Amino acid sequence: MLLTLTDLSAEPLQSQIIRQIRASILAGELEAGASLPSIRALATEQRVSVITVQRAYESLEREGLIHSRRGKGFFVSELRNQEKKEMARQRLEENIGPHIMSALSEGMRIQDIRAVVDSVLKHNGAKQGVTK
Amino acid sequence: MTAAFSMRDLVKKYPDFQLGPLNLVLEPGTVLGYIGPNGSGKTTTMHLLMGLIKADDGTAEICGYAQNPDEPVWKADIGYVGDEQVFYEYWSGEKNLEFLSQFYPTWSNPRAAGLAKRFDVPLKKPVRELSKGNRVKLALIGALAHRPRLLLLDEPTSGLDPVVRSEFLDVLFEYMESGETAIFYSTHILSDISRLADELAFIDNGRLKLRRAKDDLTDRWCKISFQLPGNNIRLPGIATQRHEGRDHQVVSFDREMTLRHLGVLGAENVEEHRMGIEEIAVQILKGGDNVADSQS
Amino acid sequence: MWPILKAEFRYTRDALILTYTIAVLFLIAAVLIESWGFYNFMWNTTITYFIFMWIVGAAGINEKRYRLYTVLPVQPKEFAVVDTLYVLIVQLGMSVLWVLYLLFKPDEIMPGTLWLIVANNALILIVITMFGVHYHAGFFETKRYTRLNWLLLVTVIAAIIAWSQVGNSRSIIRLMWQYYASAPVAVALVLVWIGATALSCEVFRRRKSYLA
Repeated sequence: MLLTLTDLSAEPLQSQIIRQIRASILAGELEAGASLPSIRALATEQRVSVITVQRAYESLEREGLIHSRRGKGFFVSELRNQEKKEMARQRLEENIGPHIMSALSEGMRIQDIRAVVDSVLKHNGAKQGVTK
Repeated sequence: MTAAFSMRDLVKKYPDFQLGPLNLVLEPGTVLGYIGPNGSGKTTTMHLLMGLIKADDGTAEICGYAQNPDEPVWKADIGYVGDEQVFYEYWSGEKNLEFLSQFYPTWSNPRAAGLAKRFDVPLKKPVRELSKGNRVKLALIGALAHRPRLLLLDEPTSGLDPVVRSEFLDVLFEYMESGETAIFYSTHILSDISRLADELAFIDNGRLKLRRAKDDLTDRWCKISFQLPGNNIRLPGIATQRHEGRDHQVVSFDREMTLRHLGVLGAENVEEHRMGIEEIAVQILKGGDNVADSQS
Repeated sequence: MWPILKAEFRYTRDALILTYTIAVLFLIAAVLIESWGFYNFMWNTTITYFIFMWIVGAAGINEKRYRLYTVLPVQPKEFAVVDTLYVLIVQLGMSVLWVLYLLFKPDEIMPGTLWLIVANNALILIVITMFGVHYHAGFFETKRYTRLNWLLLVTVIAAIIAWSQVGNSRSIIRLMWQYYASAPVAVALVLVWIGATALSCEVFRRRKSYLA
């Protein structure tokens, strides 16, 4: 699993791990049933403390993205595409909600906010090759 | 599983300083960072654990064994890199390691040689001609080559250049991989253990101030800026605060509690910033006992 | 214990070679020069021995040898035994040279010579052991012991100085042959040496700090 963790971000290491694993799962790169590295192995590989990885895994488990099997480790949970899409949608709404409210309170109009979203999609969405 | 070490009411008295009573337990599979200002008792603690000095009161156990000098089997479980590195000065690093190898049944020569290569230590030179950095590296090899269950590291990276420091930390991560070992690591340089440490213990003036999981600290502490009219704003969970007019800046050790309160008070433009472990450590050590107590 | 004893001898090998070379040179001089005398020769090697021990001891302290040992999974009493054996073996080496001298100068052999050799060995070892006791007792961290320690040191140094003056007085030399060079005194001194060694081991074991 290729993770890129950095100390320089405002985002805690734990969150970075969660976010990147989640992204892999939702995008289908990590398939259902695939096994994740053990907590210790990932901690050693990424040069982070065991507790950090442990909490990241626990958080992903609570979200329903992974599950643990006693003595066997952690595995990616079976999620239908519909469920994955719903998760991604929910997260976007949670993340973008406060920003939209902020923008509104700063006096932006709804159509200007939509224009910004389109512009962002045009510049970044193209790179992802997402045009579903 | 037996604790890697456990200190119970350990006390060491000096004319102008007292360490303890100290109560500290380290479970296997854990890296515990030991943080405190100079003279706070970190090195004395290490000396006590290693048996270099004898406590005035209290007990300590290493991997379940009492610290009995006449039955020193517990010393074979320890790898120690102390505040000073002692060797047969006129002998080479190689001869010194050869000497040490005779005392540890679990010593591995290939392992020692491998580490020497990784750290780039000149093994044929007499130790007295080695730089401080090389001496520390040699001590580290001596500490790791017999695969001890407990590593006691007393400010080990002082004198090491960044490349070696990084290699050294890599070796420590690998050492922890089995989950059966433990590291007790005292340091000033928090960036060293900012990723390695699972838990941190803060000591000042001979007393243990606080012991928490490192992630707990980084999750709960933050700097918050906000706007609110009024001077005497009492917020819970605050370590320090300052303001200019309506603009306020606080350091909080309980993010959720403080933010909730700010919500209730109707503060505006609330912005929070994460704090690095170094900043948090300074706050804990500078702060009064209320800061430390509130964390437990 | 043996690895440590071996290491100590290996480490001080060059100094030992030099020391014994000097002692052998004294031997040659003493054998060739008529007026040298057994008693003076014994003093030569004894002073050489003490200087050697002083240098080796100081180096060991400088390099914090006891600190190195304490980290090892070895009983403290084993180090104490190593120290004892080390000083014993080196001194026995010197007394071999004494015997060699007598082989070259058999006319200097008297009825009490054997006991003289035993007694002197014991006395020298007692002195060196008491230096050890003094050093280790310094790590007791209490005032009472510190004062006792200095008293001990002063006594020993005074005794050494006094003994060195002995060689200058004929009447004292006669007394020495009469009483000192005898079985009871020799045996007594050996027993005292054993006692001093036991004391040294115990004091070492009771140290509160092995940092230096």
